[in-house]
Amino acid sequence: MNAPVRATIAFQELIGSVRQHWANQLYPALHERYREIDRGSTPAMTDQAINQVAETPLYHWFAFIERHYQRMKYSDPRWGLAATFESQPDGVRERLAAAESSPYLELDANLDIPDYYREIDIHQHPGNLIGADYDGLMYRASATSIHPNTRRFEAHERFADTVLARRRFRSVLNMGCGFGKCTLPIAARLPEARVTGIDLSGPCLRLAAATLADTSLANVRFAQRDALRSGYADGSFDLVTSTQLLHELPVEDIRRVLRESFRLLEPGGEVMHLDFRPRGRWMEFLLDGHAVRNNEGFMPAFNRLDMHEALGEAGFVNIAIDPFAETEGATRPDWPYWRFPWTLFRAVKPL
Amino acid sequence: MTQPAPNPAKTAKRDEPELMFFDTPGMDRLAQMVLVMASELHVLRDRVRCMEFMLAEQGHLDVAALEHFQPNDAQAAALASERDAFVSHLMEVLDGRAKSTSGRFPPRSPESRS
Repeated sequence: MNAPVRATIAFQELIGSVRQHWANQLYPALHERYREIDRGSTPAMTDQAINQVAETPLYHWFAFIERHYQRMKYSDPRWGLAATFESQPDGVRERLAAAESSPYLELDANLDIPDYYREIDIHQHPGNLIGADYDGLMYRASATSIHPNTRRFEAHERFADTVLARRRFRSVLNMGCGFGKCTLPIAARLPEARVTGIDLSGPCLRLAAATLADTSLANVRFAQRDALRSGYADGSFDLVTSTQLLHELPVEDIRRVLRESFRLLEPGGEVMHLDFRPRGRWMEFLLDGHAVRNNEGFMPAFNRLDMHEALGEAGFVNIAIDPFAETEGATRPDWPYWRFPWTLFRAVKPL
Repeated sequence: MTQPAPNPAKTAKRDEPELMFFDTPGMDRLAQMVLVMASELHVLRDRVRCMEFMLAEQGHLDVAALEHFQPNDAQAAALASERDAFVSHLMEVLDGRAKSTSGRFPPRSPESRS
């Protein structure tokens, strides 16, 4: 694949640097401001402090920069990802198209795509992940600059390590697998297991299959299926996972995903969904704002969903909801930088 | 290389609310203009530095000649075209066209002050 032109690289690197500054300089200053103001011992006083912070120029800039650098990353008319990938050189599209005939990929052009998936451009991704054949490439390029204090896809590698530490699973389903950034690390760690990634996005799945073709892995399958109604038989898997899927779904669909996870597991099987969970009003406030700024409309409702109750309602037992460190030391109380409150939702289907 | 036809889904400016973060009218667009300026400046600086590195490596850079460079017609046209693109990039935000090419976001934002 030919590299983008130098100006595009310079621009996208600038976006990454700004994101780093935003996370490591601007956010600590904002948090410090909040802690100076919040002397409340009641929720009402905390809310009052948050409202005061929300009216400061510092917060206005914090919010503005989050919104507009993400917009520019995708939609800048000169060097944004949409403009860049629109004019991909010959060979890239062909390579993605060739992945369609991979024996490891099953696409379904007639899959029923939910309305919200068509109508909301999540993460400000133009046309969401189903508009163009290069959407997977755009999404991958964008995802690399979202978590500035981690190595590329470090959270997903660490999640795969967490999976491996539990037990040697034999049959794994990765829901909402995207371009395989979690599916492939799990498959690499469990070569004896059968690992399946499903997603609504055909472009992402083509990229996943093309990426798989560059590995020696033979234990992976990708399929265009809906996590709400996957079509696999009852008890087909001993582990069902997802990463950053639940917060993108309406609450009723989250409950359906949990019920589907339960149905797909054999007795004794485990579910492990990695997502976000704010602890405290301050982080809840920041994520509510992020949801607006980054077009993640269902995130606030997910943040308020009692996941312990929802997992229990789906039939699960041994429910554990724990903070997850996407990089070494990130869950320390004195971690000063912006980070999403990564959380692992884990449970077991009773024997 | 054949350029593919533009993809309407990626280029259409769909109707979405313009989020406003500042109380002062016009401030959001001014601030966006600053972001564009900053990116233009950075890309330009990056290009000049890369060029200097390349020319210096090859022993071709004559700083004095660079200061007195006179473009020919074709070069002047190229510079003018770049200048026009720069101005367009910078000014696009002022009439509110510089929305995300992403689409409508249903809930009304608490930060939408317009």
